Amino acid sequence: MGGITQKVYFGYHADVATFPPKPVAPATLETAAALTGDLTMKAGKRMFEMYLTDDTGEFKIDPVGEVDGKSFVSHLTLFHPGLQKKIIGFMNAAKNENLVFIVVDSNDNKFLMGDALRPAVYAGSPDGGGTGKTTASRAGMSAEFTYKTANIYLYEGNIPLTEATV
Amino acid sequence: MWKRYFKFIKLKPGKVVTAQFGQIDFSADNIGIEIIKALYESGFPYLEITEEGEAVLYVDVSKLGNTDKKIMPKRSKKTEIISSEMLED
Repeated sequence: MGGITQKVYFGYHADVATFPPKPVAPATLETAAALTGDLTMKAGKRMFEMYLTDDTGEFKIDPVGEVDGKSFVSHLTLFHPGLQKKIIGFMNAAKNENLVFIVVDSNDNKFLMGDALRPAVYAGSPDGGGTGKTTASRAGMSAEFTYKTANIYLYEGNIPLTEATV
Repeated sequence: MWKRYFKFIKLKPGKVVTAQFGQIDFSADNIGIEIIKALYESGFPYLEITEEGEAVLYVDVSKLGNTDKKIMPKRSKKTEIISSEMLED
């Protein structure tokens, strides 16, 4: 089944206390694809969830670079309906901030965008944003985020949506 | 109920998207003990067992004494009679 679920999870890169470690000398292809452990947040910080309209979100992996220097750029695109304070505030905050995202696909695979060295960043608004021209238009905001990484990993941990105390 | 047996730690009580069961609101009292127990046993980092939980959910059988004596289900008298008759044959 294709597509992503109707929620993505995000936080500020600077608020992350620890990232799950990457596999070291993995014995199988499966272990080479998975991060072990949890992403944890600094005290008083948390991750947030964002709703997106069904079938408007996509997680895409693009291989980039030359021979012997290949890496990946992952892209998250989404459309959030409406122009409420929450989404406007998010766009204001996110446009120049370093972020992390956890994207869940329709098969319950979770992709972590961001690691200890590199964040996910706002790349633009692929389908624009605003009120639309007609009353039948769908108001809202589209957004794209990118993350450059040497390898793609699945996240198998938990997602804390409440403030860390330690 | 579950809060007697486990303590939610490292986060303010609230929502966590768990790898096993999806989103759970740990500020609620009515989460099934089996779910909490399964999370704890899988190494969920935000749960700690209480002394009461340890005593009730993880009884150390070796400390109960008479460990070599097998506990068998009680049989009805009728079954006992039939069994002894069968042995005599």
